[in-house]
Amino acid sequence: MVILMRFAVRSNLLPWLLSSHQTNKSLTVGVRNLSTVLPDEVSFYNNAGFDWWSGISMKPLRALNQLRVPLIRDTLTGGRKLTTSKPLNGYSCIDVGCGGGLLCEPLARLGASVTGIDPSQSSIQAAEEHRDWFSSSLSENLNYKMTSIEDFVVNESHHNQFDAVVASEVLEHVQDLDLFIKCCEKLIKPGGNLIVTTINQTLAAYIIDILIAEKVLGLIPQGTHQYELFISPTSLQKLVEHNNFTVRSIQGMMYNPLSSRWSWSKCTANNYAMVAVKDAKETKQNS
Amino acid sequence: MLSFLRASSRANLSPYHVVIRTLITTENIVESAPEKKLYKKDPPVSSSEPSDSALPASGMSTFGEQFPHYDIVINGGGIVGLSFLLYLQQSPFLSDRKILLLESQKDRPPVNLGELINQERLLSNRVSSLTLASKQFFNNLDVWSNLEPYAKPTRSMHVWSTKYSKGITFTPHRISFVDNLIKDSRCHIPGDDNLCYIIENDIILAGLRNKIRSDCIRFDSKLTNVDAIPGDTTVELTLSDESKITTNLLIGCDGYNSFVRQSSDINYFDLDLSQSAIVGTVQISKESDLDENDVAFQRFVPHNRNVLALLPLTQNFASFVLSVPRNQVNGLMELSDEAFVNLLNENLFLDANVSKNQSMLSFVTNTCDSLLEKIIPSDAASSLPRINPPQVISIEPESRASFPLKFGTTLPWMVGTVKGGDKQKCILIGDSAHRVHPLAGQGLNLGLGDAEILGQYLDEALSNGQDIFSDNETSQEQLNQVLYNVERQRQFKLIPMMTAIHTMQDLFTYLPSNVFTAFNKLNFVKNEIVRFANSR
Repeated sequence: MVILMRFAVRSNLLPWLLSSHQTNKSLTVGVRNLSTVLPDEVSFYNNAGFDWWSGISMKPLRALNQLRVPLIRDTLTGGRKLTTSKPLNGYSCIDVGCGGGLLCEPLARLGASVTGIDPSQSSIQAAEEHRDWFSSSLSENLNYKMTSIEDFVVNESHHNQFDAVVASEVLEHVQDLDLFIKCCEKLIKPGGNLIVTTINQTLAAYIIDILIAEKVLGLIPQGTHQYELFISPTSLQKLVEHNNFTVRSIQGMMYNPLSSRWSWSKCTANNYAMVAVKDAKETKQNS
Repeated sequence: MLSFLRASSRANLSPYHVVIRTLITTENIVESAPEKKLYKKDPPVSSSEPSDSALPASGMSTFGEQFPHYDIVINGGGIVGLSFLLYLQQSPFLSDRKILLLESQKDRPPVNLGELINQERLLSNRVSSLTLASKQFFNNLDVWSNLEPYAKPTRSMHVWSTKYSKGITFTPHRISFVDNLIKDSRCHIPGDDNLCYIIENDIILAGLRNKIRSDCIRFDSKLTNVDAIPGDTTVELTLSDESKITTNLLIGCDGYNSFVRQSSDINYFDLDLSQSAIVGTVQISKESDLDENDVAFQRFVPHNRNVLALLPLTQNFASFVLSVPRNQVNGLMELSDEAFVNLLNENLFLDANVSKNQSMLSFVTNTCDSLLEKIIPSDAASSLPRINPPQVISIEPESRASFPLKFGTTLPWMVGTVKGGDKQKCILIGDSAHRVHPLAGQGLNLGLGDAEILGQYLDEALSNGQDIFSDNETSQEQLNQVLYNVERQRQFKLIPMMTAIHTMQDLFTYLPSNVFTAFNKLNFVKNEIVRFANSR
């Protein structure tokens, strides 16, 4: 590890270390998997038995709410001053890949009507149990559904329904990103937002998220992340803009494990968040 | 991990123990992972009856009667407590919560500040100086506009020890490059033409009372017992009328004899300074007709170790705080008004070389001083706010009062568990967590800072959709995280400030006076000191 780092520094590899590698995995036209979901991933989440709401392995993800909830809240409200305790009342969100509902519950608590979908049965079960046991007041505006996004989109009544589609820390588990973004596009109302947080495809991300977090320290179960599935902000931007979105912002996120706090940063080498707006014009032409 | 370190350092373990035990816990985490999997697989079996399994977790509800429950209980309705309550009432997220403030005194209809404005009134002898951060806080609470007619803006402050001309003059903060470095808006204070504002405590209280919806205040009731059971997520409070309530978060702003502190496990360090303070209102001489009386004066009197502060109140009146050794205080309180005025003037004008106490230390100081005088060019007509210190003309009859000065603090901790419980359920703010010498006029400002930061963090947590007031482990963990963040944020301010306050007296007494002449020229450093004092 140390040798590797020293080598990287000596041979001026640092810029390379922090820059993105294009693998062009999902941008290749013609190759089309019919699913966004990897069967391995689903069985991994079914068997991993994550302790979503307590325990140390999900602590960074729980702490991430410090950044992503204000991001979603302020994107939806347009940054206006908050005057009620339910500022998201009247907005509808869908959390794709909701896991144990870590993000759904805060959003629902702020008044939004939230739908959480996830292809893993045990994740959905954990999320529903937590809602019923600990946050029973949210059962009116928080619903979970065990489904993949492409199956969810088949039902046309879901089209153009959501003010925001949130895909937080899921893109790195998605097989066919193009299909995933296309499905998201169908769900969002014209002018609505796609909010994504994910991991960049850099060596830094590989070292931090796979080598250190999974293999050396064992903070996350091994096999949570796969390097090939990470995506760099530039390729994601291309992909998203190709699918009728305009990217509003891309921002890096940094985690401090000692204070377990996240903060915004300019460096997108590891984690980043992207907000994209669905263009209203083209949908009008289509319809 | 941090909270574990915290817990072990509380238990006075040595650093080695901490390391060893930390290693052990990490192992435990790894080992216990499979068990957790098993646990997580259990619930589907019992999920047919979720309500039954959830009940035992909520503790108190299973046995005994249900007491009225509040999310936040504030003990103590002083300035800090009331302004915290007002902050909560004005936050859209916190005003929805069930909040209660306990005040031991009877309800008195608040003074109408608007009527008072043109009346002749007796100036109260308990005054406070408000820094710009506190002014900003009251401004955000929409109270400042009511207080402003009574607040005396102070343009500068002159501090000296041996010679008046060899003192330090603090002027309002100028924007410097450091402000560009500090981007955190929490610390940023907009520039102001004044250094601080002097205002009577009663006026602040009345201003706050006029704004507060008093339905969340319970007057004439005292906390008589605080009780918690291990594993319980609420705290049970017994009031003086034998009624009981439960709460998720108990906030102690009940002054230096805090009952909340005494019934928690937070260690209190206190020290008797063997000094007493005498306060009162005096009339002071004006230098000219243009003199607005807008300078605060403070002298560390070298020959008797008194500290005298004169804080401007109106055009002609000032409030004084004289701290004297404890054994002299009774004698001074018995002095006639004329004799006391003479004493004050003596403390303002008498030079050190009149009384020569030939200790080794003063010899060293004087030698250094005369050496420094040869090095530093003296320009007496520098930036003195007045040519001479003001002369005390008369003292308002019956305005003298005295109280003992003590130092006490719970720092570095402000958050703790109630005795008998095992969960961090109470936080101390204001004088209950830190009681300081009044010489810097910072006591109230530090307390208001605690209230503001605590309110901000609670508001932020709720605005992020966190569930911090529920009866389960996750929400308890989130609440603790919020409280620890408040504590950490305040440590950065409180510890340096309290250290400064309590070394200032020795610094001014023993350092050669020419050091201050030199220091007075370091505008950059002075500016940063003013910025620090005025920030949160």
